[in-house]
Amino acid sequence: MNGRGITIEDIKKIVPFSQGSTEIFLTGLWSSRKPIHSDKTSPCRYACPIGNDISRAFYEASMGHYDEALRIFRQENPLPGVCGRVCYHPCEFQCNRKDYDEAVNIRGFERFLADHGKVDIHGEKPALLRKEKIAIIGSGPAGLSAAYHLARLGFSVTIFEALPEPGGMLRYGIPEYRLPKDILSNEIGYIQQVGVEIRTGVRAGKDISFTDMRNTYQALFFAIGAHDGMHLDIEGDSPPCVMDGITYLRKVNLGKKVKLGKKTAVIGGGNTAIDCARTARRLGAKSVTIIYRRSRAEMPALAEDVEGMEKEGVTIEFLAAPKRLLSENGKLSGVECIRMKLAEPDARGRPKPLPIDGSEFIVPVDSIIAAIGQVPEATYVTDFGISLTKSGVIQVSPGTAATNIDGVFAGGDGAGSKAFVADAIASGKLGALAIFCYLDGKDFHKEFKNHRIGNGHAFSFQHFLDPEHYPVDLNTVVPYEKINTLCFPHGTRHANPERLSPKESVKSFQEITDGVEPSRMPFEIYRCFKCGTCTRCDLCFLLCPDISIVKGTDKYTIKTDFCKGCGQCASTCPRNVIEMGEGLGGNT
Amino acid sequence: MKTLLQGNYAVAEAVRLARVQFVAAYPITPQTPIYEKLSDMENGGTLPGVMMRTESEHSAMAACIAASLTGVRTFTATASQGLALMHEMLHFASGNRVPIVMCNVNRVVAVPWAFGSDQSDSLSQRDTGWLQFYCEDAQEALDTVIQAYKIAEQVLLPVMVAIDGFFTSHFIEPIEIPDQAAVDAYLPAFNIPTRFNEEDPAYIANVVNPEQYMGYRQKSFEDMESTRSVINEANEEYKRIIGRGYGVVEAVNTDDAEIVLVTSGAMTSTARVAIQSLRDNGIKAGLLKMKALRPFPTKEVQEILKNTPKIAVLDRNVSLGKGGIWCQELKAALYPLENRPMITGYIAGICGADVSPDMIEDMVVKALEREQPDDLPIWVRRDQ
Repeated sequence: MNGRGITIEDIKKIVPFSQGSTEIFLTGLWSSRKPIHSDKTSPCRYACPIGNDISRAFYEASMGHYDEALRIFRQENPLPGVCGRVCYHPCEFQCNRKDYDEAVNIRGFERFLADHGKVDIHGEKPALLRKEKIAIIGSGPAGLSAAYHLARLGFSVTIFEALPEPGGMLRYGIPEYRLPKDILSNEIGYIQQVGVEIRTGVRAGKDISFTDMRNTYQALFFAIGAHDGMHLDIEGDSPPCVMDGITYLRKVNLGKKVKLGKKTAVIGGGNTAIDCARTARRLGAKSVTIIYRRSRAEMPALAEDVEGMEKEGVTIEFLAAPKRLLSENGKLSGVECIRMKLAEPDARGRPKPLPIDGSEFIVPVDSIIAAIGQVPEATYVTDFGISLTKSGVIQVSPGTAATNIDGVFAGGDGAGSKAFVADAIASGKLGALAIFCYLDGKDFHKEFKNHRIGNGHAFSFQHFLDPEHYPVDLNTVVPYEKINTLCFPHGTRHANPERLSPKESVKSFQEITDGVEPSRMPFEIYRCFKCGTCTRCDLCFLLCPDISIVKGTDKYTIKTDFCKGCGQCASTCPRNVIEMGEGLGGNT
Repeated sequence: MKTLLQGNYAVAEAVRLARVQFVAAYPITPQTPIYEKLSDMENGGTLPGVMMRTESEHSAMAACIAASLTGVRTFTATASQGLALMHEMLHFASGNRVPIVMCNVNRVVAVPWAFGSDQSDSLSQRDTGWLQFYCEDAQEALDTVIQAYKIAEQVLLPVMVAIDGFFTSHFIEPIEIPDQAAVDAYLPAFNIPTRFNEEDPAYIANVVNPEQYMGYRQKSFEDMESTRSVINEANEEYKRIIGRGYGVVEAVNTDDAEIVLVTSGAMTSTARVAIQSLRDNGIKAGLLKMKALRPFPTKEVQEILKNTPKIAVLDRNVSLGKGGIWCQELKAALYPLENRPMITGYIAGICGADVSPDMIEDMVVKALEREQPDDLPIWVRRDQ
């Protein structure tokens, strides 16, 4: 070889220098570990009774697709504007981010989407209409949810509502300062646009007979709620200034004048009690005292609502139970209470309150609201032959919505669901699936299992309708330990701000809480880990030393012919979408 | 006209004169002044190429390989631990047949941690497929770097030029810097085509089968053999154009010698004085300076030493379990001789320890008086 004039052909003879491809060497065949790229379930979704696909909605929103994020919520839940305000957000209690700094403001996000987003109704209407007709009795969250999902399945759905306007407890139980009526009306309007007919002022069994319903409709769904307040069973007359909580709230919400005194006691520690106390403050009660049997930690109401109430000047008498009502001149003058102490936990795990002998004391009041529980006005359904349980709710077979009568289903707290909006909506979804299976001759248990989220009570309607649209492993929930937190900077939670000071808030029924400022929302969206939802972040693609991650237009695939199973993609995946599994080489 | 320069700067001047287009390096004592001088030149606009400051010597060599493959003249310099870290890439360089030139400033390899001169760092890279030249002084270092490009670019093999840490790298000597025009006349522009072409992409270092692998290795071996004439021609041409030259070996007073002292690197200068002193005292001593380690100048040393009865080899390096490396190389080269000389190996000057003319004279005398050969080396330490 002569240095003058060395050519590329000369070089090719002396060095391994290939202008062909190395793809003939299927180096991945040597490995027995392969990455598996599969979207998984976030713990927030698992915790949500409705099964909202929260991490995916956050992902879509992170790309600026807010309307798609709202559409994802509406796949499972027809009432995001309601839940975005009043839900007890179990999602946030399970949020993986809480182990890193603070839980993501998921409820605030849902509200944000509902307040600012738009969903094209026509895209949500069923492609095929079915001939079967379904009647739903009650337009509360359970009834609305069942109606919405059944309508999307193509059924002709009619809701019968006894009260003048639809919404059930959402309208007549929840005060306007927590849930403005126009928000509720908008969401109900959306459900109607999907094709649901709502007939208000029609009491089933009275204005329309059970026989007529049975003849016209192929399935019935009873979502009658629990509108009967339980009464205080204590010594002393029941003067006019004693009222049960749910009746009180209903009357106020119906716009009726409710005359109570200036010094009011509210018995109970649940949401209704808090709503009653804060409503009473707004209607002019100078002093409002909550009397609750247990301590603060056991209160069923949300801590943030209790705190808001206290800021509005409501005091709480913990570990106290009413024993006797005192009257003077035929007017209520006070309530004699007895001090309680907490004993061993009961069957539901809550410590049992026991009275302390001789500890009686008097709370001077001129009116009392008893918010100690609600039961359905269920006696009329027994006329139809529907069985009730011992506690007076409609009996349904476990895990399904079927009553003892063929073709008759029931849900919501009238059928024993937890007395929360989200649980009522979940119960309505379950009823819709049960009715679909009943009319279509499908095995309910099998369908539920196929679309169940983890091993919980929720299932996904989106997955049921189109499992291929957002393929996801519903059985695997991503734990905090599998989040690659190195990929996430710490950041403060963006909470929903208070619109009014407590001083101002008690002067009207204006909504207290504001939405998260739209310019701040992207930061909260960024805080979400998007557990289990591939965000096309490309980390796997960029870090794979074998160039075995193939970036498709909508997903990544793994060239197992070349992947040597090093696991870098899995250990760097920020959100546990990629995991290593056993498997020999060979292309996927 | 001569200029006073330390050896490191002389090497940097050679890089500039060779119109090197790409330098990638990482600083390490005692090589750092080369790096600094080249940086200074780049900053002043006198370095024709660009410098890449890498995060390690391994990366520096990898960068040089990649740059060379694209068809540019490249240079790097290192020492000791840096060279050890480069080891994997040294094989890549020779295997990829890239004509990189590197200056290694000999320094002990840890542990213990120290800085003095010792050839073990570069001698232990003997089998990486590089040509290796050991220089006696700064002038030879400058001239050898320029010659190295001439050689490397004809045979497509990398060349390592070694100088002694501190003795050569930092001592200031009068240096004759050639004219740029003369160097340009000697060294043509880099003309090896790029192996990377976006239009026709290629892959280097690809997987081959055993037969192909052995074929490439044999070809590399043969090409290394072919460098022998290329080295001599390069030196002859350098002499003609620049006016200086150095053989792969240099013999001084060996023809009638009863004993020949074999040295390499900076110790050779001291040995020249010691041998002259012995001659003045009537001892027929000669000197053989070794410049090339690879390719090993077997024929040259056989020719020079075929009638020498006794030999002393002075090694500033040691291979545990054997002895001085030059000594072993020499023994293997002389094995075919009919009258094998008696060879005494000395280990001296490790880590830059002082080796004075009288110590060398003593070693030569003792080797001459010796009657029984011993394969084990003799350690010569001033403190004992």
